Amino acid sequence: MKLLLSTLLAVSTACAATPALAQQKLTLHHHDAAHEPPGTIVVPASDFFVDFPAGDTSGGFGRRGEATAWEFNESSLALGVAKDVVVKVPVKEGGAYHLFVRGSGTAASSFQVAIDGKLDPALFGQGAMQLQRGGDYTLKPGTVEIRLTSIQPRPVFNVLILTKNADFKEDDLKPLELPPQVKLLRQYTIVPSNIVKFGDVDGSGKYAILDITNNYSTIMYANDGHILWRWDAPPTSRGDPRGNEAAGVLWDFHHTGRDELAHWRESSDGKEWLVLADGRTGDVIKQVPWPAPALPHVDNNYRMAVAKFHKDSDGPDTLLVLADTGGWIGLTAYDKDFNLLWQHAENRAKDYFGHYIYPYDINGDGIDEVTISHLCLDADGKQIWNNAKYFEDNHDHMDAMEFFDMNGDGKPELLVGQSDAGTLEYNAQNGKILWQNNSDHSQQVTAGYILGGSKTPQVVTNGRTYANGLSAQLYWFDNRGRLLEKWPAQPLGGNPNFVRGDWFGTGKRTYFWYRFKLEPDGNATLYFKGEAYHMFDFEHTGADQVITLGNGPGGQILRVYGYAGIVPHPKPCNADCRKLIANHTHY
Amino acid sequence: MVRYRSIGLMLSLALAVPAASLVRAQAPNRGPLPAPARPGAQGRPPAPATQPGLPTPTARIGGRPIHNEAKRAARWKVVAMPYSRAGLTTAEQQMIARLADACHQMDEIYLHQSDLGGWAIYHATQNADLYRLFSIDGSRWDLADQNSPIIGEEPLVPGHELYPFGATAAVIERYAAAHPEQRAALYDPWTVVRSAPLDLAPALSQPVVSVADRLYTYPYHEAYAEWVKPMAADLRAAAKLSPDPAFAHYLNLRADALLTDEYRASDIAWMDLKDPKIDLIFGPYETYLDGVLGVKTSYGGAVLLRNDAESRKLAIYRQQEDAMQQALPVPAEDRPSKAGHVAPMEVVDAPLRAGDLRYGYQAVADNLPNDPRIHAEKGSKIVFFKNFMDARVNDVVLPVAQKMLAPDESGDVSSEGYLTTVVLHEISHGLGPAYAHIDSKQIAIDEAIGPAYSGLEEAKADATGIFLAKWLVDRKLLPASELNGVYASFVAGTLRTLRFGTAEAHGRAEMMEFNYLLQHGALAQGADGRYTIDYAAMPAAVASLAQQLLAFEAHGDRAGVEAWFAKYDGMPPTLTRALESTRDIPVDITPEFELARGVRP
Repeated sequence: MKLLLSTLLAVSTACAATPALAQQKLTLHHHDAAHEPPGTIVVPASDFFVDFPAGDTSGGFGRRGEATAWEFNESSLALGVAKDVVVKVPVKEGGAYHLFVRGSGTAASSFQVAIDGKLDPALFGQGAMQLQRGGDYTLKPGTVEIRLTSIQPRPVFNVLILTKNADFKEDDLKPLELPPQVKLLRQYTIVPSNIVKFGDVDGSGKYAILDITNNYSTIMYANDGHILWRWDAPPTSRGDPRGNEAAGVLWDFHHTGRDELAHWRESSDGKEWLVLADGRTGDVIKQVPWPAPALPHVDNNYRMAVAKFHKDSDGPDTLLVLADTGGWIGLTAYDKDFNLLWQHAENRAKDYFGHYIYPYDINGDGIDEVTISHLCLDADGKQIWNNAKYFEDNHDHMDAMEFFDMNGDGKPELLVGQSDAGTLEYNAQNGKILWQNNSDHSQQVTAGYILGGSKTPQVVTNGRTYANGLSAQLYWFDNRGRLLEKWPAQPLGGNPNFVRGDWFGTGKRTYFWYRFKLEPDGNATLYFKGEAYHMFDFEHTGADQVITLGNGPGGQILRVYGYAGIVPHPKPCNADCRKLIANHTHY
Repeated sequence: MVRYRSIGLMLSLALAVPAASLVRAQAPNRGPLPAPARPGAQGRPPAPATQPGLPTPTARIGGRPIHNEAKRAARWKVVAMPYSRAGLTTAEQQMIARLADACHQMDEIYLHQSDLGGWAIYHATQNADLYRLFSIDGSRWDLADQNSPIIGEEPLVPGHELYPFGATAAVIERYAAAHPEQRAALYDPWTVVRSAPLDLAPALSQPVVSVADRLYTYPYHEAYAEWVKPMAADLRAAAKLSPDPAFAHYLNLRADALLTDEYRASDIAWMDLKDPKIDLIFGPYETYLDGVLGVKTSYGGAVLLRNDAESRKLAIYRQQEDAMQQALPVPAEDRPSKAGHVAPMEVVDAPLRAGDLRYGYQAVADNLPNDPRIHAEKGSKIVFFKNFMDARVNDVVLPVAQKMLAPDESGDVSSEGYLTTVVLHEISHGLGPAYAHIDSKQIAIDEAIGPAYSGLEEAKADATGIFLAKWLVDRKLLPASELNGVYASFVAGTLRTLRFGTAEAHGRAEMMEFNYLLQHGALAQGADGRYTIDYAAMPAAVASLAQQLLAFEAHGDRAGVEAWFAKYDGMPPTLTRALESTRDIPVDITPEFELARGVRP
């Protein structure tokens, strides 16, 4: 880590457009991805993620469709190529250890394990997922090299255990999942969603869960998981899903102490409506025509957000609706009673204005501006800046944005994961490009003082690749856009998101990506079984919890994870806090 | 608006092309457009998308680009272009410094004409490979990979930044028909076209019109005033430092032209320069960026230092032009006198280039100006860039020869031989029949030949030029010891061109020539795939080819030409396989100018 920071400082004085930057290798944190009782060393698949060879793939439960009821950490490594994978892990106490390996494969597949260079004769990774016994090894305190070798296509590695317990059983593994500081607080099985939102619909202080499905049907779950109500979208001759993104937002528009639901509905006559519904019952309070041309559309990607457009209001007071019909894209503003305030519309190809609405007080005047891809508008819908002249093609839209003060001047810069244009930093006040760097197909971005002790913030982008299925890896940049590291060496399977919040309840941000916590020393630790989706104080403990979504039997699994060591100290969630909860969304 | 004739671009492939329209269709050249449909190619398979010898075009996986910027950049060989102050006075060095300043301004204009988004990224990117690719292509589109985007997914915009985004020729033409009072301005080579949506404040509650309903034109000197004004000031400052009054006069007139877009007077002054020690190409000439109407010019420039030794050799050839004309194997009536028609030619080194001469495939010669009024009055000037020619030979042609020719023949390939082929090719464009004669009527050759004319004219200039090399040897105007080098360099240059395929006219012409020489025993392919040259058989084969091609032009034999090309322009599979060996050779050089780094006396 010292080397990394010194590198940062060294390059900060260089101003050439194309510096040759010495890159510090970031490495995955070992062994925190599991509990470790005395005399047991657990080596989960994620320990190998940092540097597995191209052709190997990471995966989790349900991803490969395997008929296994349980998978350690819901995380495995498919050994697709013959090249060895190696990791060194710490040994806290010396002594005689027994090797156990859990893996699966076909009748013809296999791999062997070498412990500190000694090849174990057993063949693993054959047949159904199973825990197999290997040989015995004497380990000294320090580190031990674990090598998966002699790979015959294509076995799956789940977890390896070196333990002094000769009678170690598969059931002994189950309590050892995930790091001890991570606590699973809740788990819900929901109908597979397109988006999930959260809000207090009954004034209880507890968060209900809004599930909008791929056909834009809407299901409201109470905090205890039972269904409060559901609205089923009428069948469509156009086929489902209706579009890539569904729209809905929970907000207390009328200051009743209960969140209402603004969302899309279609009536049986094929007309689209913007509906304000009672969050408890789903009953329609008001509806107005959906702000888009009549069906059919080339596409129908919709988003909603709330914005604070009046300085004297105590929080967001305006509903924003982005309707991308492919060929006509409009951003429409409504007051709390759905009276039309303004609309900005352009004839543009699908996705030109991106997928999200970003209300943010860019100029610090207490009123939000709103940015949709290359366009920034003020509270009256007037253009502040427009980057269309740079990026006319709809594919080059801004996929995700983050506002963060990157240069310490007290004003936010705009960080963007901008599709195949890479990662860009813009002057948020005028839209000018400050720097760009490549980061594959860039879809999610975050920024902050993630590396501990750093005097300047970093930008981290989730870059998607497609060569080996949908996968992604992180691109770390310094605050001037210079690449620090691409991590891990090979993309991990999935389409991960970032979330960040006050995990420890100390008032400081902690960052998560995919299933990992980004560590202050540049490492990452596997923390969750599902993929991070949202982060806020779901439990009212005074700390933020991470909400994950993942596949599972019977539907989609929504889990709430929190810091195991938290001492509850509830604190109020003000309007800005609730706005973050309401507006947050992801693919 | 007439499409100006221009051979400058084709010269970037070492040989000349007579019409800008052809030039722009040349995939491996600097033109951005895809190759047009091949005349007479019906019933035959189209040219492959991936041409032999070139790196595989960027594939797309999952509908997304592959980010292989480093591999793309590696296709271009970076070549240092030094700035030699030898023989330059302090004042001349100071003058050149001001000219360099003007060139740097011109680069900014060109990038604003070429790709505004690319310009923004170019100045902002922290990615070294991307930066290098922009410095090569001058845009987001990879010339060496069928203009695929090097960042983002936006396909090449035919009108670049010269027209509103999405404008097509049909839209412009329809608009011009409805607004005849704007026609001249819309088609003017020195205006940019903008549409209403770009210029209007955004309307609230109003869909923006995506198809322009109003078009505006802005003269270049207004649209690019931010850079044009300091450029003009630089030229005037340079004029004050010039010890050459004629050159100073030209610089002042060119400064005026930049501020008015009236270039005629300064073009004439440029043509009137007599063997200048220091020269300057500077202005909007070529139309390569305009894929909509093909009329809008892009800015290009080069600081030129006369290469005395090579220019003296060139002068000897120039003195023989009429004798060369009379030596051609065509009837006397097809050999009009060339006496008194000596247009200026210069062999120069270019220590700095700007704009469209700076980006993309690197020209080894240029032929300017393009204004037909100047052509009628003064002709045009051909400039041979010796330092660029040397770089191309050393880094592309010679490596191709070493892969494709037998060792003895590849050893004969030289920069001098290559220069001779280029010079004679250029001279030969002006030789031969001036008109076609059909049924006792005199008509323009291009009109008579039709779509195949461009390829024919290129092939004629090639064959006639090589024919004249032997003629020069016979008259002891070229050392006999150099003849094999000329032949070998010609063949090596042909193989270099054929790496880019035969989809466009010039490649098709060279393929035809290559096959003809194969059939007539001047070339042969060995068992190892390499080619050998029968130097003894070369003169007769070249002479018969030149005679046939000249006869096609003299007779305006369109059917004959099309049949001839159909017979000879197919790429033999054995050549296709042999060209695979050149896959790792750079597609071209990309210059790194010492003078671009702010060199001061």
